[in-house]
Amino acid sequence: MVEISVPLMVLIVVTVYIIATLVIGYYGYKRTKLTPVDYFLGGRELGTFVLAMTFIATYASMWTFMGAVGANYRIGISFHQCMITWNTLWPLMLLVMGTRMWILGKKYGYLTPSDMFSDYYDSKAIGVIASIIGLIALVPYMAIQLMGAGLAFEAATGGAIPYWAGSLYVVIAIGIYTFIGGLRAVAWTDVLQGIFFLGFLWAIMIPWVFSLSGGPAAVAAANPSIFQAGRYAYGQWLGFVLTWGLSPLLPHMLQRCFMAKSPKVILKSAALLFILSAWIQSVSVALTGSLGTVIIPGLKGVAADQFIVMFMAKYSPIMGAVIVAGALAAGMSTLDSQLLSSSSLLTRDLYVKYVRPKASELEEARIGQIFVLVITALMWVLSLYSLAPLVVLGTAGAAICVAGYFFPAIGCLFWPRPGKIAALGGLLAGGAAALATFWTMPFGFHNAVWGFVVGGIVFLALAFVTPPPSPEKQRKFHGLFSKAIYGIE
Amino acid sequence: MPILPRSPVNKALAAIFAIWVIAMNLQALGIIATSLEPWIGGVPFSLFFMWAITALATIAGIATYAIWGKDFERNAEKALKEEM
Repeated sequence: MVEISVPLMVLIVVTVYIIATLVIGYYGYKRTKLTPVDYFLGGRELGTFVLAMTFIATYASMWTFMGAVGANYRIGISFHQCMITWNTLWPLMLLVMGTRMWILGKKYGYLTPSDMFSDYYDSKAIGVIASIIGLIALVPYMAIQLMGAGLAFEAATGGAIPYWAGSLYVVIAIGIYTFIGGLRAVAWTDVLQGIFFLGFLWAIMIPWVFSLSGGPAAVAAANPSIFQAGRYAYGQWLGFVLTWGLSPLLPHMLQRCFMAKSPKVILKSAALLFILSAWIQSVSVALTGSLGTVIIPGLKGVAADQFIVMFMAKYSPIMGAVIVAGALAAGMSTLDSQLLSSSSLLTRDLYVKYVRPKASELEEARIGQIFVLVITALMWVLSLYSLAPLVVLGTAGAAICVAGYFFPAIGCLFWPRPGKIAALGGLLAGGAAALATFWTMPFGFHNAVWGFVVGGIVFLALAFVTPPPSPEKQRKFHGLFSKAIYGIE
Repeated sequence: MPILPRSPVNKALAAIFAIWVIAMNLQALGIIATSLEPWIGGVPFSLFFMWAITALATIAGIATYAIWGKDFERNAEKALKEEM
């Protein structure tokens, strides 16, 4: 019998997986017309299952697979309590914000968050700044995801596949299927990737850790603090809940609100995501990490993030190949969505609005494809250097973006009083405060909390002393909500 | 304007979400439901509490879709067809 080495096994399993994504990408290509709405938003025709799966797969990154398991291992259910809170909050935000964003996107043809903000506030500045903040949130994070992919390859193959080659392999696959198939390829591969990594956790990890650990009672007997709630610093808890609970405001998540085929689809997806996100995702991660403390005890710091890898190395080295594929699935499904979203921000918000306002739909879609290739290459080059600013922006980017976008979104979606100066003030002050406090976390509060506090004060103060949007714009947005949400004629 | 149309059912759903938010914050602050005892159904109380309260929020989320979905669908489709 031929013996297959672990590195070769990893390469075979990952290659099979990548071929599957490319085949799906090809089918996406066959169905995609080269128009901006089709390429970036799948023609606004996604059904409930695909939309819900692309949401959850985009939302759950490589960090969920590795870092969140590690956090549950170190902090126990106090971290799970934080995670299940934000994983319940964001589907709730889809219900209250996503439905409104869907109506606006459908009615006025918006493609990006900046389209929506700059139209409502009659301000090009808000659009440009929102796009730049969106890119700050997306590009460094993508590079970090890719670093994770390279490291996973290198670790699983014992260095036989070096870091640079592993990350290159992954980025080429993502670049190809996103380039040719646009959003349809991204969304359909997200379905595969989401099923793969959630299925891996539920079908393989949970039964295994349950039987090896003896279940919660045995774990509690060995380490009771694992099941004690309230052990996670509240200042961090609040920041995580705000950042990820309001993540439908991140560009690649917000754009998914524009993709639903009908009002029923966006609502039904939100309802389905309560189960997928709060229960299927966070409970699986929590049980794996918490019960794992008695299986491989004593992991400290970032070593705990490697729990699944160590677990497989100890109990089934050959399954290590499936882990790499599972981690890649989690990472790729986030990366591809962010890649396409970044391309749309550059294409629609900068190229079409400032370079070629008369660009045809075909030209816009083609430029979008070119940006996909450019960002893909840039991402890989960036991932080769562990630049400190890149890591900082990648880590802080989501908080900066959410703390900034929250204020213009409140004006667009709920409260007609704030005008463009208030929105711009909230956007800049929220984003800047979240960035400035990233290193210091004053009084132990997460930088997102400071973004919301400072941005909120500036936004509220300016909302009452500066002019509101024009009555036509208020009617265009809030009048539409009166009819669509409340049924008021 | 309220986030959802005012009705007794929507107010009840909003109240459930408010209870969920308060309960999760209090537990995170270490004020309520922090200990393992009593164990309920093989699960420590701290975990049981967060799952029970989150289950309530999940049911409220799905109920929002079930209760409001039809109205939203009809009103949204109508609003989209109209000229603003």
